[in-house]
Amino acid sequence: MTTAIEHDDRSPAAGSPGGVPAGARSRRSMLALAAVESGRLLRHPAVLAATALSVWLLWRWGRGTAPVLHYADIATQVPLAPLAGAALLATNLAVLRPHRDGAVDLYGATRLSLARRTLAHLLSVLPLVALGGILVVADLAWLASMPGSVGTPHLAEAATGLALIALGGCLGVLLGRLVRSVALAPLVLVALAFGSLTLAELQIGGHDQRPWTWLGTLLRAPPFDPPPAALLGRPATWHLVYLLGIGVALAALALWRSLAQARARRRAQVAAAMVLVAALAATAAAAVVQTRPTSSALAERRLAVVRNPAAELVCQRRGPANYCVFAGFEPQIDLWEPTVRAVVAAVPPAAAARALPVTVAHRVGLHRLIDEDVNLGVQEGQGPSGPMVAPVGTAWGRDGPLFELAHARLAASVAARLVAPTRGDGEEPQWTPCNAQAVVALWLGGQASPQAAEGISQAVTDPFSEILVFSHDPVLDDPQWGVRAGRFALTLLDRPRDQVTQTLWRNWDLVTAPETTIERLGEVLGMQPPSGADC
Amino acid sequence: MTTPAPTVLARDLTMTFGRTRALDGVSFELVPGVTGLLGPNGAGKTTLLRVLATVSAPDSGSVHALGLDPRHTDQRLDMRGRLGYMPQEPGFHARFTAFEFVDYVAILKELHQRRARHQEVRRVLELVGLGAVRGKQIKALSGGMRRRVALAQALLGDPDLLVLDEPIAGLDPEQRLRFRELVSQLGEGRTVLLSTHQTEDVVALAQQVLVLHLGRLRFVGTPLELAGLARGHVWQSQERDPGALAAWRTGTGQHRNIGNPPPGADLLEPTLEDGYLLLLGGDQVQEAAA
Amino acid sequence: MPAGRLRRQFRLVPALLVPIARAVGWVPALAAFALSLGLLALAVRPGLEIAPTDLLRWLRLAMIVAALGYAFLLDDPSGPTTEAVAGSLLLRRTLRVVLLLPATAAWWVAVVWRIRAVHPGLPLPVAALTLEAAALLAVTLALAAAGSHLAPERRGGVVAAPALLTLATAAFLLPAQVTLYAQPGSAAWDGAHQRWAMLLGLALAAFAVASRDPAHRRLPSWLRGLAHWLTRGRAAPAEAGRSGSPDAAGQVERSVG
Repeated sequence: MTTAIEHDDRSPAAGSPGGVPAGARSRRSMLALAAVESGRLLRHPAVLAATALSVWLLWRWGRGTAPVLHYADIATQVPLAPLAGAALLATNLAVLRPHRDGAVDLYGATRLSLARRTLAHLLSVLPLVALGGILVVADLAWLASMPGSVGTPHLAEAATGLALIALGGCLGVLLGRLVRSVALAPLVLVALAFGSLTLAELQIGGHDQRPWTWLGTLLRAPPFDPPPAALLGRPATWHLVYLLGIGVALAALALWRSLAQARARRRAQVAAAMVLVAALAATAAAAVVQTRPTSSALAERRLAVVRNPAAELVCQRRGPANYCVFAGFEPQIDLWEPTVRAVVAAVPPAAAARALPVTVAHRVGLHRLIDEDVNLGVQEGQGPSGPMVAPVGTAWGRDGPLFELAHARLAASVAARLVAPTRGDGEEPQWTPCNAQAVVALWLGGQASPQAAEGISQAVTDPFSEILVFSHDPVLDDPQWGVRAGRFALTLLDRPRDQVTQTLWRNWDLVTAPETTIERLGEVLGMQPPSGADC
Repeated sequence: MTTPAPTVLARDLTMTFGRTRALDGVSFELVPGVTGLLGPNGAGKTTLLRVLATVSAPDSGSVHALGLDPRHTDQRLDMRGRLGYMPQEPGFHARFTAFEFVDYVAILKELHQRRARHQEVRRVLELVGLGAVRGKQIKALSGGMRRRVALAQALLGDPDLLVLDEPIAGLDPEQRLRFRELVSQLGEGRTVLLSTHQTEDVVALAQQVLVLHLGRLRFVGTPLELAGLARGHVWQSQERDPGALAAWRTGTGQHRNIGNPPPGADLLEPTLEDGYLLLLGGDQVQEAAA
Repeated sequence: MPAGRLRRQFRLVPALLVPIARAVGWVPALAAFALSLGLLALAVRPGLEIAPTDLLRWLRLAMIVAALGYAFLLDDPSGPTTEAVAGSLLLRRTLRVVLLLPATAAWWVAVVWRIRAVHPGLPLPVAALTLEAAALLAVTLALAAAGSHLAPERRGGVVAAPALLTLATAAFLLPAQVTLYAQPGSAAWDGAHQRWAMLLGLALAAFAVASRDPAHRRLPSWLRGLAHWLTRGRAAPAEAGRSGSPDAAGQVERSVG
């Protein structure tokens, strides 16, 4: 075999191979470069670490929850932020690679122009966006398959996290074209993260309060029970347009910069500038629209729900309880039933017969969605309209401190309605939060499920004041509980259940009478009640 | 004529990166003078030079240079004070001038006295022909000039052992000539090991040649002996001989062939390059002859 | 390190200070300090009510921003040329850190002063927070030192900066039993600071190990192979040869006589 050490003049640069027009050849080369760069991007250690972190954050949010899907879509945005940050860092490093490795002149002598190379870097982000899309779709599908999942995800909310990734990538490319230092991108990233977190923190309520915080990139799900989708009033679509507009503007700026650096034809620079201007206009328009206040119709509807919640709910009877839920939330009833039945089972049958059916009804704290100046039309001291219900929020799940509080709230509220039922003459039930009633109701609630017991323990350990709360947005239907009563109930829960049940059943009328004190209850049970001030 | 005592003794050097054996039981001795290190890309030349420059430690085997053993920290530092190393891809602080950078390296080489140090820096920069541009920032220097800055720092302190990795790459013919003169002078009384792809430089400079291939030392000897390997295996013909290991057309229009010549072939006097090519392609020649 | 060798290294310090000060890239570090102060000033403003937990969170984020400046401190493009010298790598890197210490101290004093000035009533355990800041900077230095073996041209900053951001994000998500970010007065506070102290020690040790003499460094061969592959590209293992290749003419041709 002979090794030919001759140089044949078959350079591929000679002539146009296969007669492909120059423009098409350029486009194909650019797409091929984009494919190579996207492969490198997906394998970058920062992207791999960010993907693992995003997966973990999505899993952590969703596990053990009974998801409300028009909230779960919002909750996909923050977990994708690491991917957006990794996109920024990795694309920036990719753009700066020829500068770091001394290949600028080498690339400059190739046919593919600087602008097309920039476009290739911009396009290389798309597979990373697709990866984010896969994560979001998989997450929402997983959540939708969970028992008790309700609602439908909003496309714009689910796509916001993906827009963040695209934005991060475009920014990384632009920074690389503007400044040749690898130190800039991490600093810009933390500044953006800082700013986004600050704006997200300032979003204390819904959209109406501080609407200008929507000009940030990260939007946390509001920290209260998810209301029905129709009451949310989030300008998700316009926010998505806003983010995409920023991304396109950044990309256009990077392209314009490349064209200017390479002294490209004026026509191309003008085209890039026009795209930039259009993107900025769209961004500005979206910024204005998304920061407009809520429509008066929606505000009225929210007020109506607060003033007369029963009108919005649909009810169905199941066993010992009437369940009244927002339309579309019926699957959550299956999750509450075991707790409700467990509470009812611990009440003497005769007493239960007098109190049943107990009404379990959705109550969500819409107060933060409503302007503070609005007159709710509910006077202080006035009870809720209609019979007392056992309130339950729309957030439910198996694990986690917030869900344990939700379990405790439901179980204890049902117990309170059974211990002090509404009397037949329509009068308010006599409820004393600091006497034996409260202890018995809390014990009934705590024995219904381990989560309820944990929730009670949590509330007692970290009380807001001398009154226990199980909800961050209590409503008028929420019974009040004394901390001392809570501590006594926890002590009771440590004792053998059968023993406590027998004693309580024997003395039911006494222990559930409004005037029975905690000390008297202690005498009945043969226990020393905890010390502490009465509320 | 007595052979001078070896200044560098390498025994069974082995170095592995993952599953790749970069050095595989390499043993040799260097005597004062210039030794050329030849080998194809990936042969392990840079790895070997880094071991001799005390920049890397081998997985096994030993190196003794100038009577010192680099496995002991103090001796290693002493050895570094008596050796000069020019890496294949030198790095610089681009904002430094040539003088400032070489001065910085001189400090690191423990040349304390400021006045004497500056004198030494000026000397080495003159030696490599950069005296006129020593005040220029490195980023403003051409590629060839930067390589000469790298060479200059290797010459600091008049080292007894010079380890030069591809020092001639990027130099123009005039600079290459000057370099040959310089190395030739340095080789008198010092031990110089330089790696290169240019066999002409080895012919011009080296008293000894090492050929490294796939981490193993394939040849140790003089340039003449390396060329002699190809004696009787180089011939010329009108057309490329299909049975040749390697063939190329020369400026005369004839083809120079290396391998097993056919009977009656017009044999040529072999060069070092012929011997090198035959050595590396020797497996195939032996199989054909069997 | 024996006394003689230490003396030998210290003798180089006066002459090295100026060239190393010129060689260090000051811009990333100073920009990071400035950004940290600016962001903290925005988050902690007069008239803005802030809970102690939130205050600490912003302060800790400001620490991470400042630590990013340290990520690029050890980047040294002259690394390949200055490997075979007596002046040790550890000495040169330590001098870089020492030169940045005054600016670091000024940054930290400014941070504490700002918080005390705006919220004099809020508790601020300065000693413990100083430990957190010091440990975070040490971890960044360790990442930069280790990263210089992996990154092309020994620029460890491109490894250290993303690694720092990833680790810092993960640290905020640690479970309560091993948290690093505890609240003052909470049960986890003491344990968290014991962990910070351990982290500081480990980071400084890792920095020293990663800055050892390259000839002394005994990385396992698989790790050297990984570093070699990452820095020289996937072609490197093929270039470096194939192990175990049969070599029929494997004997060395040696000169005779």
